[in-house]
Amino acid sequence: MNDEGGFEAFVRRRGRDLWRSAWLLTGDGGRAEDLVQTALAKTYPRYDGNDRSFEAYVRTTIYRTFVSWWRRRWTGEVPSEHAADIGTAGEVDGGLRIDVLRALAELPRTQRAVLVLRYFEDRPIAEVAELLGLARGTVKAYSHRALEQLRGSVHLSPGLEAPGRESSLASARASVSAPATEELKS
Amino acid sequence: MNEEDVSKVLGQVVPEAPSPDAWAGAAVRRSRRRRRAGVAAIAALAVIAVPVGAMVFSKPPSTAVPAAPGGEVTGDVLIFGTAEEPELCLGAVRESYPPQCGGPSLKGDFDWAQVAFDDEGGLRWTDQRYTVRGFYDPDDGDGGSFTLTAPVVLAPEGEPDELDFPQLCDDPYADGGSPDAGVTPGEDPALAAEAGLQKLSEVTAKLPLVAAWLSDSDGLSGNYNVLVQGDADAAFQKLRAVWPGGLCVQSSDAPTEKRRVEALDAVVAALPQGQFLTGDAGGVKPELTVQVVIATPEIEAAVRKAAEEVPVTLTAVFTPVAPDTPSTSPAPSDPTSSPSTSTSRPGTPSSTPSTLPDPDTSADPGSRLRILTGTAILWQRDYGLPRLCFTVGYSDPIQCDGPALKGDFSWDGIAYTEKNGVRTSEQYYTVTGEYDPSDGDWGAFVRHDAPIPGGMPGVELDKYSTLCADSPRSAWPPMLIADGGEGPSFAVMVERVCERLTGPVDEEKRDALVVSLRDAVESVGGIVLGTGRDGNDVRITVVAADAEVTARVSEVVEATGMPVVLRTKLTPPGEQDTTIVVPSH
Repeated sequence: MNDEGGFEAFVRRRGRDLWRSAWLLTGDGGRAEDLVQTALAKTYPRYDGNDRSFEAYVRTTIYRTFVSWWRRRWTGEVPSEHAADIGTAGEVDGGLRIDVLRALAELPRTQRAVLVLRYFEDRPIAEVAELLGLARGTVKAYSHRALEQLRGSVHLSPGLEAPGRESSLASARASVSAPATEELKS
Repeated sequence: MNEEDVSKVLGQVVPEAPSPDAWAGAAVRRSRRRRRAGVAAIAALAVIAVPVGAMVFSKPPSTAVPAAPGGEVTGDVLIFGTAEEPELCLGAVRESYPPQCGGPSLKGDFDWAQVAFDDEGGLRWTDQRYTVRGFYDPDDGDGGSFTLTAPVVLAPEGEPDELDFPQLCDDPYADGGSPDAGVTPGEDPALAAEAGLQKLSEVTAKLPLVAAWLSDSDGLSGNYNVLVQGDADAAFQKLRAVWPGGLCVQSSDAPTEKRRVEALDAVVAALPQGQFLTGDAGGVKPELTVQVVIATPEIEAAVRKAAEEVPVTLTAVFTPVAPDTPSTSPAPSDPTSSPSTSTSRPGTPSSTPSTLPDPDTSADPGSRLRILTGTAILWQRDYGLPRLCFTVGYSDPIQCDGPALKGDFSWDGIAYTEKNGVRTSEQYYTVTGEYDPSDGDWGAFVRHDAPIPGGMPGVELDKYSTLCADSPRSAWPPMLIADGGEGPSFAVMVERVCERLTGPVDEEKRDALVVSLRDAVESVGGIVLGTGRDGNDVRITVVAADAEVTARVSEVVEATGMPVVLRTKLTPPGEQDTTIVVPSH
């Protein structure tokens, strides 16, 4: 028998934090909520009242769902949502947020997950490796590459010449995703 | 930007989170629905140390006519899953108990009675590989699907991978070293050996190392064999200075270990999303081993290009079946309805005409198939069907959510970009045809006209927050305002909508509404693409809305008293894509 009351209290307490990580992964409020809820629905049957271990379990599910399997719910909405996200927190420069989102969007999913785990959640390499089911060396390589790409991102370093590989990757991606981004306006 | 800056920036940009109050209830409800679909599977999950959602929570088997995109393929695989939801195991098996592995859901004529399997708490798996033959659709469901065209048969046993650690020279002590040379009397030989190996690995790390291994090893001692680029004698002297035991050093032209790891990274990055399964940078044999789902010439070319000079052994789980190869028994589906891209050059997306679903295999196709029209980007992955792309996921190449096009389709005359085996049209196209909502995750057009460039622009939803402030009726976008029949006048409805849209935001109620909306629509088979909220404005976007979906939305609206903007991506020709559903009181 699950402790539904305890689960609800856990979600009220920790839901916002889970959503913040999910937002960095998905770059969108609605999708972040969907990702968190998908993970909660998957993990609820194992809620045992131990919030600490359960949160680790939920987070693992969030990241793995994000990296490997999320397709169906991997959906965008109309752009006003993005605009709403961007405008939500008044104290932050909206431009910076867009830049970070764009830079994150240029990373493959696993690298984005590594970046968020390492630098947003401050988790050690060993933990990231275990959580994502990767070798430690791969996590190191991915963190390094993700950082390089953020540094090299034209979005975050307007004055800097981006290294060749990154900038060509960025422009190639832009050309692929341009019509799709536009699609979201429908 | 250093690591600290990155942490800081990430922390700064995350917006304020919405209220999570309604999430627990929604998660519990969703979980129960999932549970009904696989009770046994979840019971088993409790004993798994590191749970993986994918295997357990895949969708229940579809009753729809199997999708058959791409060419027919075959492969030898392990079968995992539950009694109701078998899956093919792609990639590595997690060696927990029960073991875990997941992949495309197995559809078609499969029965667990056809295979020898183990069962632990409802989770099943085979220890031996089975040869499967059929159609792989990577875009159907969470992990894709594999629809059998022939019964599974036990695969012939492969040669076991014997790892051989040869000794590189005849006499590893030719220069006078000895196994006990480094051990001081009284010292624990195991500890001494461990310390020696530690020093050895430090020195080795500084060499232009191709590979290093121990032969005749008991774990701590043995003969140390080293392949280096360039001067083998110099390397030998450096190693001998810290290692008194057996030592063989040879020069090699093969790429260094460091270089191979770089190449493997590049290969992983170059492969289309979902293709990469496992990779190894090699050791004694200094080459990459990469396993992918299907090796097309394009994928192979991409792998070789990314690996540059580093040799690669590329293996694939599935290989195309030659078009004239007979299956081991009659195929359950009409072979003429199967697209035969295996005969075309892989990487050249194409599809062949398909037939309407066989009436015998679906409950009532007549009532299910409707003529609908939709406008979107056209998208196709090299081994899948073309799709109308309603929404996209971040990734390179981009992923696409939208219905498959199973009718005649050709990229001739369509301007598109192609990257990593994925084509996307450069502009919007409108497709009209017979749509089957139960075929695949987003439904499919089973017959359709040729796509026409352009299409009806959707309604700009951002507008109505200002519309309400200063708008006479004429300023409203041309959308239908539905109230479910006998209802208030248009003006009253506009007033009511505006009241709700611009009035004080009741976040709790609104968030609960979003959750119940999704539940209500999905409960009648509606395919939800997304939900949204902005102020008091609640939106839901679905692939197509039939009368049942609209009725459920109306019920939720009546129950909560809040209007809902219902958007549909596929509409009957000539109809609006946006409906505002308002409460009748």
